[in-house]
Amino acid sequence: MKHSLIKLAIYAFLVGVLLICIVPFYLMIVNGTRSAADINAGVSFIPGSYLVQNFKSITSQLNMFTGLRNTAVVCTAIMIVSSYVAGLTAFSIVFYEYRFKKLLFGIILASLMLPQALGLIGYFDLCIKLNILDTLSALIFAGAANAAGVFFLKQYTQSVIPLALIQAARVDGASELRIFHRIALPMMLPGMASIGIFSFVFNWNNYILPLTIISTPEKYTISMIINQLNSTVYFRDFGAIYLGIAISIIPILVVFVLFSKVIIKGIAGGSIDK
Amino acid sequence: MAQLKLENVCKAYTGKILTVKDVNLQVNDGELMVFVGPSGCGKSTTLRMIAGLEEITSGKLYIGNRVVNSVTPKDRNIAMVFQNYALYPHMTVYDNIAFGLRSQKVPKGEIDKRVMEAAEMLVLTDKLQKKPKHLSGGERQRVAVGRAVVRKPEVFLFDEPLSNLDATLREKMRVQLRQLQLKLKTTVVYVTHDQVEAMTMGDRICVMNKGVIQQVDTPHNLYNKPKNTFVAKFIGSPQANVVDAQLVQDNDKVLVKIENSQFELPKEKADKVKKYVGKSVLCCLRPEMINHVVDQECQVINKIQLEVNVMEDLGHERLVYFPLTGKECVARIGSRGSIEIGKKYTFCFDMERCHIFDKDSGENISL
Amino acid sequence: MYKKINMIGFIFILPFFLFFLTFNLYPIIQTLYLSFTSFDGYQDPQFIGIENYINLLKDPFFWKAFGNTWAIWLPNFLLQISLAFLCAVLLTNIRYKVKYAGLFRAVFYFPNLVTAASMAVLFTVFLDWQTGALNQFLFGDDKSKYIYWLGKPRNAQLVISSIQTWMWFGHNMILIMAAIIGIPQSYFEAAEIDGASQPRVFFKITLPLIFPILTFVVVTSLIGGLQLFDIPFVMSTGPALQGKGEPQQAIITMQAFMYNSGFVYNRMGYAAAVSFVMFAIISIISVFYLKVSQRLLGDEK
Repeated sequence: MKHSLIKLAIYAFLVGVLLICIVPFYLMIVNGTRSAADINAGVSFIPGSYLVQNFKSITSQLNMFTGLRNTAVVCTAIMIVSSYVAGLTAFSIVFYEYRFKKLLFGIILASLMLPQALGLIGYFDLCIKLNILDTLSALIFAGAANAAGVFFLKQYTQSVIPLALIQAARVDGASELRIFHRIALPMMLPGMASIGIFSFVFNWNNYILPLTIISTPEKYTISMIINQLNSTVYFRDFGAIYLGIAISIIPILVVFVLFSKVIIKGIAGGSIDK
Repeated sequence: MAQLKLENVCKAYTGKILTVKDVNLQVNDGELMVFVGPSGCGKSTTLRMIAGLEEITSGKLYIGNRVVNSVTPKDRNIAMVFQNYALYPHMTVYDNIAFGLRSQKVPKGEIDKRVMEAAEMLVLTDKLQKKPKHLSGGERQRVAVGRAVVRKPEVFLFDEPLSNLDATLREKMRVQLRQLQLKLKTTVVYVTHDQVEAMTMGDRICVMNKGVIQQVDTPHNLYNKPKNTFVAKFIGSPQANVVDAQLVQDNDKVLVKIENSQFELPKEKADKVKKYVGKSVLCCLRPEMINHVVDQECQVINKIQLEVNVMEDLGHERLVYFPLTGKECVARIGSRGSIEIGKKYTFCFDMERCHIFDKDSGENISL
Repeated sequence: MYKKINMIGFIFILPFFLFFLTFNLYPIIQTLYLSFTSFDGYQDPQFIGIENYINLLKDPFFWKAFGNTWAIWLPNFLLQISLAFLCAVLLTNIRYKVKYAGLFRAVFYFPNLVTAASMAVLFTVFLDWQTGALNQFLFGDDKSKYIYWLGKPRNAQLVISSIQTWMWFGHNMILIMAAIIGIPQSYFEAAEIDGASQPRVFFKITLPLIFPILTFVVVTSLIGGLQLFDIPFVMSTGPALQGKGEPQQAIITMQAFMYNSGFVYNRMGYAAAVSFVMFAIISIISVFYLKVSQRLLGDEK
């Protein structure tokens, strides 16, 4: 009897927390379908019928889709480039011996301890020098070297690819590059997908860097566009605002629905090998 | 097809202990040479040096007439079958086999022809589109062999290819591999820790221990003319009996004294061991050289009473275990005559075929 | 022979370092250099030695930002860790098994994935004094009761703490869950046989064995918390707090202060100095963590 009561209490608590997690999003979606007048009038959990108008409103005021497109371009590019480079780097570390290898890997590890925005001012300066300020390329270059990805992939590669496989390929007559592309890369793909997803989400959510680098509205990333909602000019059309926020996080929602297992496994797994 | 030659080859890891010491060996064209020895004896290391997967610390390696010490594996024209097969898990059987040829930029038509040939030879034709994880152990092993065969190399290297298979499959594959090698007439270096495998497969066998070659010879010679106690004990199952003995001169005869019994050495052998008379030696008798007197007649002088501790009845023969000089020894006897545990019986030692070894060096002094 | 092969391996690691040195490391060094100049983003930097640092250490606004950062982090951390811990324990409990634990875990984690800046805007509208959903939900039409959530400085800070808790407790919960699951089952079974009560199991078995992960969580939370930028910045520049003086000042974190110095007031050199002082603070804490955890765990790293 006591057992059931305790269980009930536990479920109640967990459901409560669950609701706290979900309700803001639910309200966001609901309010995205209501008119500003309705929203001002009171809270409601039932969707309204203002979706189309809000949509028109938000897209006429802001370049939502340009923002989404820009961010998608940057994040996809970073995901592909950084995963490939991290894969090549991890491969190099696991299967080869050369001077300074320990040192180089140590540098990669050490960089994980550096605060994200430490080089912000310097990067701004660099972009001016290279004449890439206010370009999406600048955002892509910043994210190309994924140190955490290298660290994760190194562990992954070591556990998934036995040395004998590489040796068999060498005896078979494959060049080192061919071994990487035909043998190692396909086997590292799940790991690379993992870090690719993390990298995609991280860069999608990155705010301070685009804020610093990008100044032309056409090139704004989605986080910058959303922040525009925050200025007093647009502020009173609540329905449109809610819808705008909702649109901005749709890609993340999609990623989550598709890859939540991979992501959660990645967090848990990456931490155990400490 | 080429010869293989190792000249004073040594391997040391990080400059310390020598894993492989001064190996000198020649493998003839078309020969199947087996490297055999206990774990850690250096056989796999030597194989990998031949493959180019380990650097040779000193000495020279020849494949054919070329010194290949600094040649990368892919340019040595060799193929290797790994112990765990090392199949590429994300590729089909066809792609696994074709990989080497594709890497060497062999034309597509030729690749297809060779892969199909190999698949037929190894009964893999209907498995070509499958991936390794869907294959049985035996099938995977055949794919590994197929991958090697298809490249038509100068030398085949096998690193304990059968050790992951169960006993029945192992026997079957042993025969098949040998048939394959005879058909292809390629030079093969084959590493195994199983001396039965070595004896049944090899044209010649190289016995290694602690990085040093003990003896390189045909199976027959290894069995009947072991150069030292290690080879004598390693080859042959059940293990040969090696016991302490004394050589005693009795007029013009040399006697081998084991515990309280004496056995007469035939003249040829006696001449060879003359220098050791009066000294302590080791006497080696294989199980079949100890006979139960019920079975056959023997010279009265080579008889001994032994107490049987354990008996194993194999059907066609029996193994009886008895203590001698404090060691547990074994004799192979026929199925006739009753044997009871704990009782003493008369046995006869075949001194014609026994071996005498130097007690310190282990060298065979009676050859 | 392997010299050549290993050389190729070395070449493989170069692309990473090409990107890293150019776009990650050089900027950091350049930031350091600029911190000793009076760079304003337009003209050439003028070397001024450690003037920036001295001014920084005397700058009350910086120290206010420093204080704000801690004031936001601490309540967030305490609440978040408790919540994460509690949920982790509940979801991994053997005696009172929870169905759909996977679902709970995924949903708790979701807020962590979402763009912080978007959430900042979202909560700004939720907490709007006149028309926010929260006030409506709590007090219905009685507008006199509505709370000006972002009105008082301390409230604004706590609001941000709460949002941070909401966003991060799931992430840390997953880490703690992984640690708990990592404890061999046999320990719990032995305790069960011994008749140990739940609290006793928790304090004597669970807690000590997950201590390494807990310290990891504490430190990463701290390091992340000290760099907090998105939410406070977006909220402080938003209509709710625009020009509102104290509450707006109260949520400027160190990182926001750095950004403002550099890109709003164009004192780039100064902002660079702020970056490095922040780095120094974080490093000191990291080193402190390593020393303490080493002492507590023996020589496990």
